[in-house]
Amino acid sequence: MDRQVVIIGSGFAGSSTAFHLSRLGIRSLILERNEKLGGYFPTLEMQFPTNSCGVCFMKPDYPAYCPYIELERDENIETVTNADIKQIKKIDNGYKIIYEANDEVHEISSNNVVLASGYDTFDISHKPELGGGIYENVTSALDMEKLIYQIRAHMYDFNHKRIAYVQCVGSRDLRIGKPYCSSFCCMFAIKQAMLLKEIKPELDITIFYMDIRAFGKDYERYYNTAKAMGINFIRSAVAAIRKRPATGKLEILYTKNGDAVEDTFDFAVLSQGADFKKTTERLLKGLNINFDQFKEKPFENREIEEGLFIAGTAFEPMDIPDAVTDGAYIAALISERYDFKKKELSIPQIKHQKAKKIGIATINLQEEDYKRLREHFPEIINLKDLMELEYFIKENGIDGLCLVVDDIRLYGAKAEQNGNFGIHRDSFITIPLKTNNLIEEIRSAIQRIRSVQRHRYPVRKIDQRVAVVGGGLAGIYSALRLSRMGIDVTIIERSENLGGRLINLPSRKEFISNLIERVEKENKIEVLKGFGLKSFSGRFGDFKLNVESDREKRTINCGAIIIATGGEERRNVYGFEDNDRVFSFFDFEKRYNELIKAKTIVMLQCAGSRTEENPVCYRVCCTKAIENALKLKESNPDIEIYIIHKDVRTFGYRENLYRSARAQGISFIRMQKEPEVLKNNGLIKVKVIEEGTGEEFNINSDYMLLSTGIDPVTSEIKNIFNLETLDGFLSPYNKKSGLMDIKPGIYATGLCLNPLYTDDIIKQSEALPVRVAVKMLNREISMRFNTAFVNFKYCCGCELCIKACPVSARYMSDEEKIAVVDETLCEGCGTCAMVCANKASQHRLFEHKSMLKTIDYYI
Amino acid sequence: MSEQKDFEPKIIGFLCNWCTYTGADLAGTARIQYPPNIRVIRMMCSGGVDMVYVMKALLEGADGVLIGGCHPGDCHYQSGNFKARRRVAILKKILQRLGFDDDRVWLRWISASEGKKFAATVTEMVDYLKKKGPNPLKSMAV
Repeated sequence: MDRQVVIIGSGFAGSSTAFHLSRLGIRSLILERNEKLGGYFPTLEMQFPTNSCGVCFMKPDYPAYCPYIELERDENIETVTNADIKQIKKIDNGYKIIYEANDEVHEISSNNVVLASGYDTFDISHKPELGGGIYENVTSALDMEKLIYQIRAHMYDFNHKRIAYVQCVGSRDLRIGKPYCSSFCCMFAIKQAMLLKEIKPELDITIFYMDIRAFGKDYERYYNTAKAMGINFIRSAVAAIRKRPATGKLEILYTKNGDAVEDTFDFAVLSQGADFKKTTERLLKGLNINFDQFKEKPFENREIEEGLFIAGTAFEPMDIPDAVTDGAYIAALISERYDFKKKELSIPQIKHQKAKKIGIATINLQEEDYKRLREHFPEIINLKDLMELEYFIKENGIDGLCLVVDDIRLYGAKAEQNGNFGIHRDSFITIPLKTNNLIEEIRSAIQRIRSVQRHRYPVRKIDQRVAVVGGGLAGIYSALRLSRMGIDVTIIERSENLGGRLINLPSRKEFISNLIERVEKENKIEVLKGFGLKSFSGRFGDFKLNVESDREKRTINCGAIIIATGGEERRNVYGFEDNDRVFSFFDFEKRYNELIKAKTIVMLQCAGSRTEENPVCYRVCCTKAIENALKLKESNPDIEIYIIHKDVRTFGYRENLYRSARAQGISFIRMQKEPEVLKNNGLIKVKVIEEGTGEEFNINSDYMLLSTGIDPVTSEIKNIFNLETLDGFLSPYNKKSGLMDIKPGIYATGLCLNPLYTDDIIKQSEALPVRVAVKMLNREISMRFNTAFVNFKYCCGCELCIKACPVSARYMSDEEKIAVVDETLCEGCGTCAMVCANKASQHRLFEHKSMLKTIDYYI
Repeated sequence: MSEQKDFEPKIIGFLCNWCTYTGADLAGTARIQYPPNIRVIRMMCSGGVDMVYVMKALLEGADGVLIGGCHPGDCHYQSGNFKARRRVAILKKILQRLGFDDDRVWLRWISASEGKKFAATVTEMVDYLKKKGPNPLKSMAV
């Protein structure tokens, strides 16, 4: 086999897989069809729901540059661009991939193939009735993204006043053979509308939609903000867009309250959906893999066949946080096949205070440059790559090196990743080739290496144990995956048995008891049942948790903490529950036998959610209600079922369920306002007015099921760890790509972080251990050079720097009233140096005095 | 008047390493032309720019100070750029009280991909300062 892993596509999912694998020491090859790496993310300027970027947080260790730069820099990732995949063939123990790149046909074999090929955007010229590809003032959402960038940079004069966004173009449309929902277009349109409104507040923006599917973490809040900003939302499918030749304006034809309405707009954006990629379809056909996009799940498993994984939007349309998690999940599945060793502790030995033998080397220099340098430095040597450099260093016993390279970022970072090949970092200097006075620079560098006193940098060991708080589904999956990676785990569970909420569901009982059995067999997992978490102290690498049960108190030492406290059923939030006729949908399984005998059943969605007081969408309820309704219909086709909703949020291929529910005769009523409910002799009278038509429905129903959602259990944990929450859910460090990282060393997964389906909880909880392991397996945290330091003489202990530090690397010293820096956590932003009134805290690279001198020098 | 014409403003730029500095780098590698009046000081974060430095630059006779940070929400250190924004607002008030032009201090959000925007900002600033004239403190310092 040529490669361990081949990843097709370098978008969000593909690069996430590559990064996570790389940090575990598994090499991968990325084949990208386009000229540039990164899939869609270089084309997106801002992302929902933060109106910022932050894709760099996708990397499991600390972020630095944009992922497409990082992909090239990473030593375990090889990239091929312009690669056109011709075929994937199955061979023994793996696959052979035939691709064409740079007019040559290559063949490569690999044990694992990840299809992260993403999606094609729907070609809007297939929708001529909406003016796609015909009129110049009708554009697609992705082209609009570029236009917004140009408008922001004042490169494009946008003088239109009224703008219309048309949703669901090329998705949820059977006429063109697209049965599914593309999941992200609603939010994408809202984001663009908000950005436009920010740049030009005078714009009049209208979004025509079928359902607004704002189902993710904090998306509902984002949608509400958009409404508050004055963006109009009209629920109607647009029938046609025509251009008036005389004025050049667009006539948009849609229905309102059952009547056809025409309205004039200047500009229209078609939110095009995701199209299943033709290449993926062809490749899968070549492998005789069939799938049906009209099913709820076109692919049953992530691993379609042994060693062939499907990730990201190729599996199902998903948004960026989901795709990043998905990539990490695939990395977790692949990592199972490889043994990866823990790094040996490599505390650099300092034999001599100063460097004894100094070498000068260049990498891949052109002949003329090399000759020029050689005149001045006869001992200089030109090497081919870093491998040769390493050999050169080892062979000659060099302990101080001056390296001249043309790409300082690339080689500097790579050398640092390799621990500077055993050379102490104080005596390792990299110089860019394109410097004004190269010869002088090299001379002074050598002088510096010769004279510098080498520091002994502090190194802190990481405790190789992870504490998982909560023994539900998320906790169990995280613990199992971590233990398989060779990390010890302690599960702290409040109740007397593992399994969490699922243990009460009859249909899941077997599944969860198998899991619990696996946990109890595992040697590396210690389970503390009946223990509650009391307090914690310490920092990433050496946390101390104090736990307590009725019988005993214990202290757990661990390197990292995973919070998986899960959720609890929201009950009695609507005000009508009597738990006899009106009850929460959690009791569906329990009361199933009663329910199938009923004549009429009403299901009320968003009961006590998506209101002003509680602006949360619980993501799962729509699909769950439809699943329940279909189950009832199957056993008793005569049942009349009404689902009263605000929006039906069956995203992705779940749309197929929604369609089949309508085909089975289940009625969906969109409520204008909360329905009136009257209880009358065992019958429930529901009066509801439909939005759009204004029609009044009076339903006499036997039962009423309330979709109430799931509340996170975070109130205690929040106080113990001093965390922030929003609507009860934990707030991550970065909402976009680093969803599961809460604080350095503290992670969260499952329902305490965001509302999820069971499958998604498994996915997230399998993905998280990879992120944790990447940091744990290093076994040590070493100090970085780019940090703050404290001049103890001046420190007055005012604690301003502790409040200002974004990564909690500042803390008060135990012995004295002095604020000190944890140099292993400090990221070197310099904020603490800024707030320090005495200039006791300073940045190593930007010392106060030298900064003032620099300014002097410049003026 | 002739002095006004020849006047080349001196601008000190405090640029954030992750966004604006990389953006300036991009402007260079993409060979976008912009006036050479700016002297760039790289900071790790715009939140780490001490307003003392800005005052110092103005007192020493810089004609303008440009502070470049990431777009709101993009900060590599979560909220450094918001801190910078707050401080600049306060600084501007102080400058007004002192009777000094507060429009010599510019705070701009320029991301790593916006080389063009960086060049445009510098050009705009130089034009503005040329119209405005030199820093009044410069003549007093001598």
